[in-house]
Amino acid sequence: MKKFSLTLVLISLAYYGCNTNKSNNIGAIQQLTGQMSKYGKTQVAAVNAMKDVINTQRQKEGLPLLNTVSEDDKLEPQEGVKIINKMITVDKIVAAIGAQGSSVTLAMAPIAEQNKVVLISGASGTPKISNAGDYVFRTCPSDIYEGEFIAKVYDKLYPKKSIAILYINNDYGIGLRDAFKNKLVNKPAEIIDLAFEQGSRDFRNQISKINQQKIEVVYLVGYEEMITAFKQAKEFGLKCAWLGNNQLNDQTMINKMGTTADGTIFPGHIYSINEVKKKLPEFYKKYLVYSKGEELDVFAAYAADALMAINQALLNGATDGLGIKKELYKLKDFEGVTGKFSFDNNGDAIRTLALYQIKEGKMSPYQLP
Amino acid sequence: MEYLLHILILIGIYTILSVSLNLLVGYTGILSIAHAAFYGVGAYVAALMALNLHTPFLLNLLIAVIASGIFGALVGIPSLRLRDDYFVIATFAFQIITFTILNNLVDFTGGPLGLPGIPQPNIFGFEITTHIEFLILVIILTGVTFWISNKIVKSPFGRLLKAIREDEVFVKAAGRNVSDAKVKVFVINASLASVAGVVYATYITYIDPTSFTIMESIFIISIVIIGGSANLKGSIVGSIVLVALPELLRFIGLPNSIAANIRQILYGALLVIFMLWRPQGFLGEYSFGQKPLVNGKKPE
Amino acid sequence: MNFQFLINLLILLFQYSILALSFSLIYQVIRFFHFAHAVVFTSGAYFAFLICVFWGCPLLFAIPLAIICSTILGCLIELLIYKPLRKKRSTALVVMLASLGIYIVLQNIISMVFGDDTKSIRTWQVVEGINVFGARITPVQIIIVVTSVLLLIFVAFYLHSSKTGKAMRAVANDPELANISGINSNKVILTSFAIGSALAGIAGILVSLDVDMTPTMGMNALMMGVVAMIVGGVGSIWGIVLGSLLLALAQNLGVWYISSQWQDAIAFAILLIFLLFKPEGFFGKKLKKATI
Repeated sequence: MKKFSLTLVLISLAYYGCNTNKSNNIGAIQQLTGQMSKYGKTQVAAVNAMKDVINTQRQKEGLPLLNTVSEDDKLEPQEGVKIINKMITVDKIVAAIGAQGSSVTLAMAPIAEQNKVVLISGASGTPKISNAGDYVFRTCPSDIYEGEFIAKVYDKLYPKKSIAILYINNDYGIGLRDAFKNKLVNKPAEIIDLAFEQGSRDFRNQISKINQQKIEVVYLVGYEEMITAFKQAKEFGLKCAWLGNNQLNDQTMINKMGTTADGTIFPGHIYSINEVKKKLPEFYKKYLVYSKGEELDVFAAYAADALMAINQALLNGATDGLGIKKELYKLKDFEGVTGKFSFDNNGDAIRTLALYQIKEGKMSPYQLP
Repeated sequence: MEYLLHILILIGIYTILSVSLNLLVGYTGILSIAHAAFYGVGAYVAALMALNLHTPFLLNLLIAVIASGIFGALVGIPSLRLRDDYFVIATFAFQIITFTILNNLVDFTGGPLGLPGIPQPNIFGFEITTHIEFLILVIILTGVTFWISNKIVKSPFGRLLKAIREDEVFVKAAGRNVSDAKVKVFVINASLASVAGVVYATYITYIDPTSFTIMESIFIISIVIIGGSANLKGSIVGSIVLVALPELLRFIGLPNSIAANIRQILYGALLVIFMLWRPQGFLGEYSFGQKPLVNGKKPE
Repeated sequence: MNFQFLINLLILLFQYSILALSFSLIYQVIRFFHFAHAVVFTSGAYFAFLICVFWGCPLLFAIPLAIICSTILGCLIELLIYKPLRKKRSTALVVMLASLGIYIVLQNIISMVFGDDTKSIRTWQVVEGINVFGARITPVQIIIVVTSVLLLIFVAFYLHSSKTGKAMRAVANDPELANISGINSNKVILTSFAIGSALAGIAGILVSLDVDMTPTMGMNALMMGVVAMIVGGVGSIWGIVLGSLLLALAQNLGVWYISSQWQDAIAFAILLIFLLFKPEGFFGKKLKKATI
């Protein structure tokens, strides 16, 4: 009985596999379980919400509707490879949005390239993706860009002041740390690197070190760990200037920090939630339904941008991966959820970052003097 | 078609891993949570050699197997003297330490950034790039692993291992060198695991430490147990069940936000249910998983 | 080393001690690794969150209720899963895998219900810690240390003086002899689970009052507790404290002088050294491999 049902399954999979008509399916490959899954879930929610908005328009114009298929990559590269294979073979996806973790995107890139399927990541920042393939794009800026941006801020605001880089020990943290250090012009006498593990909840030793060596500026790179870092820094009475990464561009997370992160300057995007609410009210409403009330964060917005770009490519007449790819490279100043962007010839989005500062628990735009 | 081939390749890789672990866990009754570490060592050795020295696939495979074997000896010789549950904790410690080393020596192993662009196998001029070609390679390697393991199991050495599992003290009292046998099987299990690692690295062409964590070790253990301890064919069944079944779940339409959690829950529940009702797995020997009777009466 | 280092050490020491103690109470009597203990620890915090934030109960009431819930959870795991497996004479490997399965199921339920992001039950503002000889310690951290010390003393007293406590030690020492002497081992095991789970729940709540909670925080915390227990010696409270001290010291020194990336490796390297050279830990008893 077991053998029979197994054979049945294999036959149906093979049948699916041999049918080569492309559908209007778009894959969404994100992390839905595990530590960073909050961002995976919001990205999927944004893609689905944008799909609905796009479909409303498509229906009016009598065009075929788009459909999304989403899967959980668990932040595991081999899982991503499995999923993209499945989506290409079974779901006949015409493009894919993902992944969140750079390691997963890098593993999926060769498959996308081989099968001529466009892969757009809304969240993977590692510089290695720039060269991962002609069919590989991203709507988020490369980490190098963010690191260099903050280096300029440091040079302007705190030139030559002693600095500690308190960073998460993964490709994101290491990438930003290196990009930042490489771009520094007014190098201080002292730069110390303090790593912490993902999910770390004890920064006391790092904070003690920062205090002992009388460091004046701290560049903090992490995710939700930052909540605990700021809290313990405040409890410690640490006095220093803070620079942050664009994860802070999330009022929900800042709300969890109370006033502990006040004064931190970090990069974000020129969009604000209010802009989105004004310009794309339908999208925002649907997004809140899909995300079960979770506020729109920057990755979700980038993921929605990816879908909008793919849709535009399809509207411009592309019918397969090759066509979509060509159209994407042609996009200039495309108006997405987060403002205008274009793709450079590596497939990276050219974005302008803006500066924000946290004041009394709220983020507000900040101008460099 | 690509998807199906991919699944079959994965089943092959996991069969190599579970058959090798079965020799240790199923036949000798020794639990090790460090299997993913040996898997990872194989992958990293092969990847680093291919990327830096541009050596051919077969040579990388050989060196990876030897390196893993040596690593297995280094871990096994001091640890196998320990009591069973303490040995498990020792393997746990080795697993974590190996992972940390792979993750932190960024200049050498790429750390969290991983090693992308691993060249695909080139065997005597024959390039292996498509899924079909990989599947054939995997089937050959799986077959070889299976054949080696089967030979071991059917040999007097294999019988010795089973005897150790049943009653170690008795075997020692009968004059056999138990620690020697244990180290031998541990080294074999480590070496074979690295074969899977080499295949994985050259197939996915990107590796990072997160593919070789303790959760991976636990997954391989589940395959061995659920498929059937002390039964090599059981490991094939186990791989098929634990690799293919979750894929089938994708086709059932579960709401996205919880689908992933539900799959994990089903996996955990499967473990618990099997342990409660059929600890020997699908094809395992009946007596596995139960303490032996003492003088025909149940020990308290 | 400056005073702050000592304070950091102290906080970590007691966090590890309570969890190690809760685990060892259970381990002593059942002799296999109850991985699901990690999620009992996490559940303490999440029960408090549920009662306090969802149902609007004030924190003072939520905490004892949450502790009771964790205790019940731990006992249910013993009654529904471990006891039947004991009856079937299952080997330690089988029970460990079942325990792992339970951990996976329960942790994912917590993730599904509460989400994977950080949740907090702190209702007060974050303020600078109290200044003690140039170092800082917050009121919450003082509560953690004081509570832990009191719990350690209480449990030590209980184990040595009360009837149930003595019975637990008897079963831990030699289960066969204990049974012959008329001690009901199932009842003793259930009591151990009750006390161990209660302590784990308390530990979970204390930790989350200091650094908030995530669904996966249990496994890492438990592993550190296990290392402390083995290094200190199963069955000895002084051993556990000493083991926690050694572990906390090594990790803090490691972070200070090298980098926090090696924290886990340092902990497990210490564990390995002890396992290979002194498996009974500082104060544990040497256990015979088999009696003929």
